[in-house]
Amino acid sequence: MTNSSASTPAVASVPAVRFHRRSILSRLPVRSSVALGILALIVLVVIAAPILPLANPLSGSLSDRLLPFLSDGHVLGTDSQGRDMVSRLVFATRTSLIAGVVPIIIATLIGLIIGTIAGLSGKVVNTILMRAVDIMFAFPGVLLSLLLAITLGVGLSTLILALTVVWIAPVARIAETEVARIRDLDFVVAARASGASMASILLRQVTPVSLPAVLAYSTSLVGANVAIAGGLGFIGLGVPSPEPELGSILQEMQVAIYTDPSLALAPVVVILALSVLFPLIGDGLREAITGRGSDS
Amino acid sequence: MDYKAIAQNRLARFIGGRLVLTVFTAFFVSMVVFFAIRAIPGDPALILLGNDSTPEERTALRTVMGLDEPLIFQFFGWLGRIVTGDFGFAYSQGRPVADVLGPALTNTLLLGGAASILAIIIGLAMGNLATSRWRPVRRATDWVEAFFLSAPQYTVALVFLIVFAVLVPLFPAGGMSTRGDGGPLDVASHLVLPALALALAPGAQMARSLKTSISTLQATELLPSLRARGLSPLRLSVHAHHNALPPMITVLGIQVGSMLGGALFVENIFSIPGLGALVVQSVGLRDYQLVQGVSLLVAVIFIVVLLAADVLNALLDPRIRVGRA
Repeated sequence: MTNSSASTPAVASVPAVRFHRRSILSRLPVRSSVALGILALIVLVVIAAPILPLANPLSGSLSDRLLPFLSDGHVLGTDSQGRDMVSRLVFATRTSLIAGVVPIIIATLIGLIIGTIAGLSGKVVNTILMRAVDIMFAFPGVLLSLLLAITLGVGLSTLILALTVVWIAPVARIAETEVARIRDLDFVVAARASGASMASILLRQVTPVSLPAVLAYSTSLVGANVAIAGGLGFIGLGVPSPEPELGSILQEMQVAIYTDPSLALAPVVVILALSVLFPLIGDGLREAITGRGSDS
Repeated sequence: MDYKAIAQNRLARFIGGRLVLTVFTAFFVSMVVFFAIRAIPGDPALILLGNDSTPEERTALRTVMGLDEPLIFQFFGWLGRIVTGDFGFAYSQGRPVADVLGPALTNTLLLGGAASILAIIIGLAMGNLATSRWRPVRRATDWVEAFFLSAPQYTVALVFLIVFAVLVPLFPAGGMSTRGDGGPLDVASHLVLPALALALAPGAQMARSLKTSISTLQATELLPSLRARGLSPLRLSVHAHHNALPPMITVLGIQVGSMLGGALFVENIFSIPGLGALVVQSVGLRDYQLVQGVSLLVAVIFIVVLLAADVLNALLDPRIRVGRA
């Protein structure tokens, strides 16, 4: 954008200086594009899991217990009940992705509404809403989700509910900051001065600017959420067995730590990958939107 | 009125306001803990007495426990007892909850303290590398930082356990101390791996904050002008870090929450008998009085740390103690 205006003559034709908007994807930093590619591959495998030639993740033969890597028919070995690790990891990743993404989507919707209302309201409403958000912030997320998981009981849907509650406050706070910043920008003031209705300002001026920033932040949160979901599964508060879930696989494979550590590492690597990929993409999205790099 | 008195007045008002907010937050947090546990389906009397108890016995116990009173009365009664140090009875341990909490709290504070120190060291080192003059160093630090920031603490803990305790047995694989030893060095060697696992994310978060402060400062004329006045590189670095300190303390305060959360899992992996291991254990045993006690304690620790970080910041930040500058 900047170098074209420097080299073109002052009386350039209109098309030459027209603002070229490249898609957000093409403006992503390299590391985020790589992360997005890997994630797309994982999602593809997970969606195609039912038609892939995988062993049954729920049953195995007890004579095949804790087979090492590269065993016949079990590339990543088997668990303590002889179930194929590749198959278990693929289906577990599906569960963990659902438990990772769905709560963030719901929490983003609710947090966006709370944050937008707080950002656009007067001092009293803003103070009440943001104090409530502050109080939710006073709970370490893991502890809050653990309490809710105990209260609601184990299961995928209750896990999703418990995790949703955890992420409403962080999203609401970011949304409020964004909206409060945008509210006083010139184009919003101009819209208000020209008599636009509150609804119109909200839909046409504020949300188009605040939404991408909040969505980028939410994308990053999926990583932390996958981590908490896995942690709850690790201590037995996730999806009940024998349904495969990354955290519970991690817990089951602890028995192999002293005999065949590489077996225990396989689920660790998958959780690590999921937790790191989403923030890489989210941070890249934020950089692409704001045009600021983390390192110049 | 002199500046000093105005500044002190302002500081006192700031701390007072924070204190009120903290008490308010603690009250709400205890409410969440109480009602979350009370909302668990199932009759506490049945859990305590077992399935072979008679309905009469259960009714009697419910009356003794106050379970037939209105919930709000129960809550305030419970809160009143907590304030006087009575956390209830941990039937799974056969001891009062307060007696179980004490030793666990000591272990968790030791672990958390060690993790905080490591986090500060990591934060300072990585923050300086991230503002290095050499681009490859900056890039590499960025990658490491991004990884540290989002790697779940329990996965890091498991990798450390497998690599540094099992494959290459440099450190003990678990517990707080070797039986029969228990000297400071012995405890320290047991804490290295779990504390490091907890410290990576907070350290990277602090590094990020330090990086921002230093690069903001580098854009100004302050450092060149100080250098022109003949300050040594060391003194220059002290000036640069002084500005970065308040935001770093805020980050550390917030990150204590992530350490406490992470400790829940990491203590289990390294068999450290702390609050995290206790909460997981008591969840498994359905000892809800104990879950309640531990959760409340962990949440209150976090709230107090946040308060401490705010107060420390107020003391350090010249904009609040104008008069003494």
